Amino acid sequence: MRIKLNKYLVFQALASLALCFVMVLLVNYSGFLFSLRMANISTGVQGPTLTGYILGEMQLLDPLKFGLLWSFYKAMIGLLICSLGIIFAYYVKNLFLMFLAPFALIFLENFITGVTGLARFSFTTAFVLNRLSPSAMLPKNLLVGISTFIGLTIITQRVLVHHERQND
Amino acid sequence: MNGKMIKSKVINLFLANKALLSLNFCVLCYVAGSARATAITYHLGLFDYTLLVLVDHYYVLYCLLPIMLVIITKHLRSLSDIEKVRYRNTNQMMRVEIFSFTAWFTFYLFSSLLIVLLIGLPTFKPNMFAGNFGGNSHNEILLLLGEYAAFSKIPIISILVALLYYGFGFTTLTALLSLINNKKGSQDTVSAAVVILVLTFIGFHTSLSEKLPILFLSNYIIFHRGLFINGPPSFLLTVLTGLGIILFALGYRPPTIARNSLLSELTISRKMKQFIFLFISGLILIEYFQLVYEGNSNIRDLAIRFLLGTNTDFQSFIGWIKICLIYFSPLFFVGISISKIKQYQEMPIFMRFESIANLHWNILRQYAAFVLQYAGFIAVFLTILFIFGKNSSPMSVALYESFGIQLTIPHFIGNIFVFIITMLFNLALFLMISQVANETVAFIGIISLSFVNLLVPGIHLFEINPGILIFLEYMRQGVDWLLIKIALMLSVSIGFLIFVRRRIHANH
Repeated sequence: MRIKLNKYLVFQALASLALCFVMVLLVNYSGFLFSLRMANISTGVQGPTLTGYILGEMQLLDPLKFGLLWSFYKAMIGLLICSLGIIFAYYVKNLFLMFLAPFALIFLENFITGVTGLARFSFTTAFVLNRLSPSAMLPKNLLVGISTFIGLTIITQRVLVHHERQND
Repeated sequence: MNGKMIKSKVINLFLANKALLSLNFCVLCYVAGSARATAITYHLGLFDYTLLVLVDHYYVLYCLLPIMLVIITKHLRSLSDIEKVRYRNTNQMMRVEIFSFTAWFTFYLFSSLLIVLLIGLPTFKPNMFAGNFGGNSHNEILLLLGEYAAFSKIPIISILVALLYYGFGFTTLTALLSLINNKKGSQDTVSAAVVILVLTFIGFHTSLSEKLPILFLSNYIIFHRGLFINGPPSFLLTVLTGLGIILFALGYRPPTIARNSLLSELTISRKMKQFIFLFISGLILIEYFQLVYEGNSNIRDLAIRFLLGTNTDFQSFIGWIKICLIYFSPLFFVGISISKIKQYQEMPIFMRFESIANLHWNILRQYAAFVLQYAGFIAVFLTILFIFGKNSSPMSVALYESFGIQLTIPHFIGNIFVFIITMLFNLALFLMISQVANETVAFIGIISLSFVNLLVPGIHLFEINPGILIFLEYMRQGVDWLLIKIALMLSVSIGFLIFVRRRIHANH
């Protein structure tokens, strides 16, 4: 059955996003299950100090439920990275650049926020659980990181569209 | 034709700015008169007195600079459309504008010198050598004259150098305003002149002009601010920037390589080279700002920190990202190029080569040249920073405490040598893996190997992006392993080159 190219591309993008979401969710939650049910990770005599971290109490008392919630959140972030990848895939003809540009951008963002002392607003901070001190791991800081990444994705899309129109 | 035009423009500059020049003359006479009393107190000779008047930065900033800005702006705006169309091209027009101003300004400077000498002659005796201004004095004038005396014992040389630097600074200003006038029009030229003036005052009254020397005009026109206060590296940077602006305005452009240009565009294009140059300059600037923020102004530390890297005792993720960016950025562009060549492999240019091996060899030469240019730029720049920096920098001290080795110039050059060889080896490794798998796999593989080295440090043989820390570890443990590794990297790189080159004349 033949379908229109636009429709095909939309389906393709949606399928990639759904797959990415499910993959990140499952991989993360498997990690939680492994560490809680099988690995018996030692937390020391007094246990970990999670006071002040996002849902710190839930992390400590109900890690399975927290794991599901956090995996869902990470899957959402994976979705954002995937959308950036899809944008590159649709607009960039160079395969190498297409595969590695999202990776390079996140790498650079991590470096720039790190050296400028803005690690609390980094997208990587939003992705890695309890990466920084509790005072830095605030929901608003994570939101700034995510919003910046969404902004970056939109700008990238506009730039690539502009570039494509110029080259046509 | 140019000579006649310049001559008439010089005369016009004098005639059109009579009022301003008279005002400037009055102020100069006043400054010379005021300085006379001070010079008598300190028993200065004629040339020391002349130097004192001519390098008076308050006179330059509050009188000479505003007047010159008005004169230059008027000079650039005075061009009518009828005159503009008579020039062969815009470059010639700008050249005439700049040369005529410089010629006029030279006359002006020597007139000023003559005036000051005439004012000083009845009171002071000509002196061949600078007086003794005392090393411990806290008097601003004596300190300034002392610095000039330390620069040259002969005050006439100091005077000429200071005047030459004025000429350089105001020519840079004219070139910059001329470029703005040509690109944006006269209104923006006036706005730019105002911005330059304001920036100059800000720079003069704050320490910003020492941190960002190229932004403030005072560093371009006042010799003692440029050299004595900012130091030789900043002075060099300022002079190079000024010369760059002047040459650009005079129409000089870096030569473009015509040979193999189409293949260059398909492999590593000029745009890519410019991008990577800007990228690496950005990294250096970030490092510089970090140093300034930490209150460390020693540029030797900039060179050390830029290539510091990580080791067993210093496992920093950001440090690792930085060293990865430095080492692997060229490979990223090589990867893009390989992908592009695969995409356009049926282009007619590729069929012009004798054989596939010949094409591969030519492409490899482009990549190697690119990586060498990149590594060479970093090597030269960092070595200059290291040589001009002070010996006892905080980083040198910290490294000495950690390793018990003083990081001297030969050590640093040795590290740079390892850097260049490792860059070439990484290129060979990347191309070899690309041939077996593909460029994406090769790039991810190399990054992964480097990441494993970060997580499991100590296996120096597999270090593909070693920094200064690893280099010093080698030095501490003995140089045998380092020499073995260099020999291995060189043999792999040269072996790969020979492998690619061996069949370049084959007939298929």
